[in-house]
Amino acid sequence: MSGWAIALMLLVNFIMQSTVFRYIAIMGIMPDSALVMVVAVSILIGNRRGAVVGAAAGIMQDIVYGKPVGITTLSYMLTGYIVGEYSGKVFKERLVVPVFFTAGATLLKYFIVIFFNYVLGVPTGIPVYIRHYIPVELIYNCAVSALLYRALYLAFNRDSTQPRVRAKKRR
Amino acid sequence: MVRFYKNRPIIMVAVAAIIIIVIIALTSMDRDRVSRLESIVGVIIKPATQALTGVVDSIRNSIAGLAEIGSLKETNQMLNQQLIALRAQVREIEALRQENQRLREMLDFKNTHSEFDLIGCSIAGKSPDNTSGIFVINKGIESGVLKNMPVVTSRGLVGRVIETANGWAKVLPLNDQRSSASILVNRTRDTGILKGDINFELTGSISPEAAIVEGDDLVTSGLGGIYPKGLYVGKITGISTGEGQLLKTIRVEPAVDFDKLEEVFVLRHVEELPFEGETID
Repeated sequence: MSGWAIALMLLVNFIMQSTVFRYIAIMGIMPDSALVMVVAVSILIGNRRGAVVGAAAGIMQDIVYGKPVGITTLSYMLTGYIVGEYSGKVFKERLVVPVFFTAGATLLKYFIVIFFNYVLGVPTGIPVYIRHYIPVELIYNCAVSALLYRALYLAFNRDSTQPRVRAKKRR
Repeated sequence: MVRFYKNRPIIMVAVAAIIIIVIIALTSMDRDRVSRLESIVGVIIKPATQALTGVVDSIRNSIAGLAEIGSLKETNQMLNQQLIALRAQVREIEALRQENQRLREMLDFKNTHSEFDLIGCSIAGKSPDNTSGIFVINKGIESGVLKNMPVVTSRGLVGRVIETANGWAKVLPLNDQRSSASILVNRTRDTGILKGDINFELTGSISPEAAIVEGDDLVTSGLGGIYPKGLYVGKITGISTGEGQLLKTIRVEPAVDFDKLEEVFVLRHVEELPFEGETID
């Protein structure tokens, strides 16, 4: 899967997220499919490119909807980097890997959101985050990850058999 | 040098993280418009989101009709085809009727608020972030949409413009946790503060002496300079005075259904308008 294909996938996903995803919201919560994609892609391509993919997905969302700009970019980039660190150390074909990392990434995202809300003086309402937003989105994201990962895994592995695209392995 | 960074992605990520934190700090301050780069990204994405929103809305509206087609008996196919055609027309007429009604209401609004210059906008997309209510409208600086201009529908206040670009603008709705407005109880003339919260509900604080009751109408008070006086906000649905609290806390049912916004108006040049509107209800 080339860089352009990943960029196109993120762009289409972003447009879907900001238009039709509110119709699949559960208890008012939409899945963060961009985060799920960043996690899945980073498992498959490693930390350096994972960080770039995360930053690209985040900045797109931040520019159009962010106030302030950068919080989503930071959390997605760190997610891409950290998950990518484990790229060479996990069984990529096991479904539990992306689901586990997606859960961790959702927690990291909310940690960063709450931290910056606190620093910037936005009323945070931490109990509501813990009772409602974090558990529902965590479960939803993990479910989406389980559904999506297989397709991405196959897309990346089909590419690696073609001569033009190298399979990226860390060290 | 490049090689040095290439071999140490953690340094690259750390440098990027610091740059992003600086950007967060800079953009969290008040700014009138977005940067040129941001503006370009928005211009690319807006038409796609807007088109998709339109398509999805129309699909959703016709799903009820389509679902019935599968259950029709073959013998009635002819008749049913006619029926479907007629239904499509009826739906179209109904959609037109509703649009007519909406536009008529907006026209009424425009007539009763001749002191405002209204810019009609449609919604291009909503934030994918579950904790953010920010949405994007399809008009920006080129149409005279500027920062802090109030956004309304014929029913009442929606929120305000927070950042603008060429061709699009970000709107912060009243029920977002970062939003607040100064309000006035229409009947008793008591003033208070209304805030959005994390659950996208409206709560307010009002003086304990205020003789308010459930069902009282709230309008903007004109204090604070962003919202002009007299824009309808909603009704009080609950009043509580917690122990140790100095102020009465009110729950408010907004006049606007924030989940079903399609067309909105931006009020232009509020700072030049006399701050003596009349109530809308």
